[in-house]
Amino acid sequence: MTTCCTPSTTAPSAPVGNEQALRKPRYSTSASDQVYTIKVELPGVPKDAVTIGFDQNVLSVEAARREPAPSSWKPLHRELNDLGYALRLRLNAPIDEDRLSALFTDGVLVITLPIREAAKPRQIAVN
Amino acid sequence: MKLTRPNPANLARVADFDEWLRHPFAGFPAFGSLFDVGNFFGANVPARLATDVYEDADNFYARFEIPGVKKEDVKLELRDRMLTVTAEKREKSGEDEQSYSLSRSVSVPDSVAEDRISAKLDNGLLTVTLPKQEHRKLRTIEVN
Repeated sequence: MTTCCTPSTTAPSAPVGNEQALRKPRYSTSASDQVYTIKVELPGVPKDAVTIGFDQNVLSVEAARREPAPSSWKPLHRELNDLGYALRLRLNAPIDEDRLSALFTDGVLVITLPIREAAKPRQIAVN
Repeated sequence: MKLTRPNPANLARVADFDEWLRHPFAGFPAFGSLFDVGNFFGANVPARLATDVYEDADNFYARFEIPGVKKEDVKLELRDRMLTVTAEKREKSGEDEQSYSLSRSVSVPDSVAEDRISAKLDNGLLTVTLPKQEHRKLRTIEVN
């Protein structure tokens, strides 16, 4: 599979005063001639808690900590993690930023990154 | 020599209080990252789902993270006081569709009203509500 991006080494820029720890979500990438598709798993996160940023070829996805269980619920056994998510990916190809789109369904964020016209493979006819 | 016998009444109380903690799950504890296992071994071996268990005065709650799974691909089965949650995960990549299943069994305490168990899937988070039977609920009695 073509790799379109590599995890960025730069630490996510946490907003000032926000000392909450973040973790990297599970994600997968796929590529075609036209677009890159990145799927990020964000279970339990409400749609409006997801922010997507794109700056200098680095795509960032941040999602606030998912809604905690009601305070009246007494935990008996815990395995799930309550931390928020942060993902930063450095893209290896020029992206048409204006046509970037995202869809969030069933706890999965699907980001579609169209490849800029000039960067698409071209066929050159031999005369 | 004097032998002291444990008070059976006290023991029963502890067991009751500890019902979930004593035998809440079959097998070993799971970790959230085990989602990968299903992919690794192929579609036939279900990966184990991680879970959180809570309770309040009226219900027990079990939560599972199943991102990308549609409501119709979630199966809940109750057999011999064992609740099994199976989620079929389908992943499309172009023309191909890959699927693998994620599963977890949780033993259900006797105090649960089996016929009233319900489940809700919200943004990839499945919450199963296991209502406690009426007579097992904590009641406060006023002193006159």
